[in-house]
Amino acid sequence: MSQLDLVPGFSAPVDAAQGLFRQLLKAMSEPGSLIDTTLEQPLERLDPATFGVCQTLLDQTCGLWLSPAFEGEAIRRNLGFHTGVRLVGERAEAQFALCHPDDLHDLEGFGRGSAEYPESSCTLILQVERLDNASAAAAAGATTLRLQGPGIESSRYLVVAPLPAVLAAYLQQRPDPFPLGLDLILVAGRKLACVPRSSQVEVI
Amino acid sequence: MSSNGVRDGYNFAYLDEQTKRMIRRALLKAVALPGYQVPFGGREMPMPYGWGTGGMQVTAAVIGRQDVLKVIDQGADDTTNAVSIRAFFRDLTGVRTTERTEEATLIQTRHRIPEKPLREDQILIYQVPIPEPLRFIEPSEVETRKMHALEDYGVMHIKLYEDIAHYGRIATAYAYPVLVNGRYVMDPSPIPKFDNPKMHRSPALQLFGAGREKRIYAVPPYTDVRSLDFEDYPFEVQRWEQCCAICGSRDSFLDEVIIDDRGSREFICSDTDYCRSRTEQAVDNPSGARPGTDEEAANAEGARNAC
Amino acid sequence: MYVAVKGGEQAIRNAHELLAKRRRGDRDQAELAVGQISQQLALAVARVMTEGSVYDPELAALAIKQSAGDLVEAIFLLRAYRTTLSRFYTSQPVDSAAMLVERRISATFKDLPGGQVLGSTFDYTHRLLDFKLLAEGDSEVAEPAAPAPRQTDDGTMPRVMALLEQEGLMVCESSQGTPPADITVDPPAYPCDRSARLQALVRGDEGFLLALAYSTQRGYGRNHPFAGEIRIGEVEVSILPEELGFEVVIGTLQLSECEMVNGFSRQADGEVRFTRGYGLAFGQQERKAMSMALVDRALQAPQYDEEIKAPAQQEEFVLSHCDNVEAAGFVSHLKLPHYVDFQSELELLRRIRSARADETMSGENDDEQ
Repeated sequence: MSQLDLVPGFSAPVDAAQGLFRQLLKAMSEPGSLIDTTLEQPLERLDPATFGVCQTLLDQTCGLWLSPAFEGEAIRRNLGFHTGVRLVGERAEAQFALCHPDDLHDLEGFGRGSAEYPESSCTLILQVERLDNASAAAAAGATTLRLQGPGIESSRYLVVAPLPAVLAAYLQQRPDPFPLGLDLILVAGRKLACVPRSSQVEVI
Repeated sequence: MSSNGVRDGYNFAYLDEQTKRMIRRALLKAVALPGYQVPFGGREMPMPYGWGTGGMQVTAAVIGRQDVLKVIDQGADDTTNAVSIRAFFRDLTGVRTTERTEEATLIQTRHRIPEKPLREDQILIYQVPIPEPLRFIEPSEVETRKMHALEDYGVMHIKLYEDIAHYGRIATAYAYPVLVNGRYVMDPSPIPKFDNPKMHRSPALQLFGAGREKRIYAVPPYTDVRSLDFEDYPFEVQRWEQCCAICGSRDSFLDEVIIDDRGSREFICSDTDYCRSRTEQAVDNPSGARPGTDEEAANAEGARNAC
Repeated sequence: MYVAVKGGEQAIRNAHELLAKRRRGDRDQAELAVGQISQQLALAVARVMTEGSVYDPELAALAIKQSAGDLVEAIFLLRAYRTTLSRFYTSQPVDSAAMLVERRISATFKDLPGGQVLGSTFDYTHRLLDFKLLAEGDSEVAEPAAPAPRQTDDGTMPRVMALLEQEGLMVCESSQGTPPADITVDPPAYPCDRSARLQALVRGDEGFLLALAYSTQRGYGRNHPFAGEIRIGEVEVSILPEELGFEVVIGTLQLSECEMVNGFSRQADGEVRFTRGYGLAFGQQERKAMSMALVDRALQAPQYDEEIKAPAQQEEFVLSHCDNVEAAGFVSHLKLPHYVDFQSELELLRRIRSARADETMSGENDDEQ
């Protein structure tokens, strides 16, 4: 693989990582809020927001599980170059998982944390086709979520297209009682939104 | 100084990018787990442990060039440690600083919550000495971690109940424990219990950094924060019979100052920005009632002495 | 009307200027050079490097100069500097068996391969103030005819512990094969990994560890120690860059290493063996290395089913209080203003007292009725 296959990372890494982190912090502490990252640079099949989240959060101290849909030399090579992240084959070893909706047939293996160390759970970064707030007309294949809980004054709506059935069921049922559970970063194009384990979710 | 306002030879906000990332990952987990203390690889800072290194590391991990920073200690912008921390961030980020609560996007604090209500998109960063609310009841980390895991907070209630038996009331005046989102008992840092109600469903994001103990925790906006109490001994905040000797406020937390060697004392607002803005308003608005006039004092519930 | 006192920034500047002046002292005296400190106060430098977690005699000497000889402050300066350094490589484990030995003693064998090498030591000096050192000018120091250490055939000096291990008399220590913990990256979780524990002890305050070690000798967690071996000397440090694929020596370190032979215990395989404790420090720091070894052994109590009843055996207690940068910071923070918390306590105390006074009063009224 030649140098040409490397895509450019953040042009001003310190400021870009700080800016995107603040947006992530807002998204995670105000679940369901839709954020426009204004990022432009994709990495092959990874959307600009997805690539940005990777550059902001990942480094050599993290294990990343990659959805089969994102396997490939270009993504592997560029993530390695820009973040130094370790790719792991086992879901259980991943602090982060970069997921494609088509591959998410089950959530087996992703760490839910322990009662004593709940923060050791996996954070799922799920790249979908579209994210909208409630005002957008829900298109075919879209799921509207109604969120309540910490970070939300009364309730907030988020439209996700597509939301894998297994994840919709997981968010509604919360089979791992709080504080255990998966935290979710949703990305589409330049947009992102978060659904932490503390949110109560209804599919509408 | 380099062209971008940051001291030469240092990264923006002092910490290297890898350390910031580690703290940022911990912060995201902290907001997903309201009130739970996330361990993080706390670094030595160029200030001593116990002097705000946890709050500083959190501030360093979140601050950006667009931010406006306010730093207070004991509610005041001009206390020596607040001055020192503000100068540090001015030197190492070049960001704008302010003393005005409403102008700040980030507020680093030790021991107080500003009197002026905070709004959405403001972040309040607390310096925390001992993050574990159960620590003085059970010194072992292994044990307290189990208690949090099992939601076993019986010891805390026993402690509060013993206070009532000994002193007729709950004898905790600051660092008064709270229950966050109905799940984790949390130390609100050594703020006076006067400030506890401000945490409940605050529109601002509240972040807590304990550097020496290497813990980060958070309360997202609009999150329930209840001060622990008993039905027959409900939580209550401090009140003063006096009002502020400078601005006349009867609603703010007052510091007592001794003004002569006979021990005479006066009371002044601990929140210097709040006090200043009230004084300015009074000057701008001379026709209106001066704050702290007899009329206002008479209206103030529970007031026994006029100023 | 009350007017609040202001002036923080100027007051702080003035205090720091005064500090610099006091540090310099009487200008009739020549200023202390960093080289003089690293050469002539080498043992202070060794302590600052060890507890400061940076092997750099020049920077440690600078820190000692800047802190006017306050070693805890110097350790803090070096730690704060360390935070800003990037990590390029992790070195390969150093091999202390291949040490170029300057001093090596064993209290367990009169003679052994490589022999006893006294090297430089305060041991057996009579602690009489040497007034000759008061004199100005260079004092004459004769170069002693140092007997060359009797190294074994392969040029290395075998460890006493290895000799005992060969005979099956000593519990063996082997690498678990996992990368060692780094408590500066991941805070220790209790119970601790052994590598995390040893790292915390190396960085731990010498005085604190000395006192704990002493307490084990006085019966608070007694562990029957013998100084199996203390060795001091230079070892090579190497890295293994992935892109090269072979080890490259990047320098040498002076280390003090202590291996304690401790009381025997029946092992899982039914055999009885001696147990051991390990201590390591930068430079010449025997007291630190020995103290660390005693505490390391005390902290192995659970492994040998020993009852944990003494402070030195309590891992969380020892490790969470041994760091003097943390401890000094938290003790000194009491100097910061606590007006608000104190005001809260004042208010509470007055309220409790007035409630009691009211009760007494109403009690008296009741009597009158």
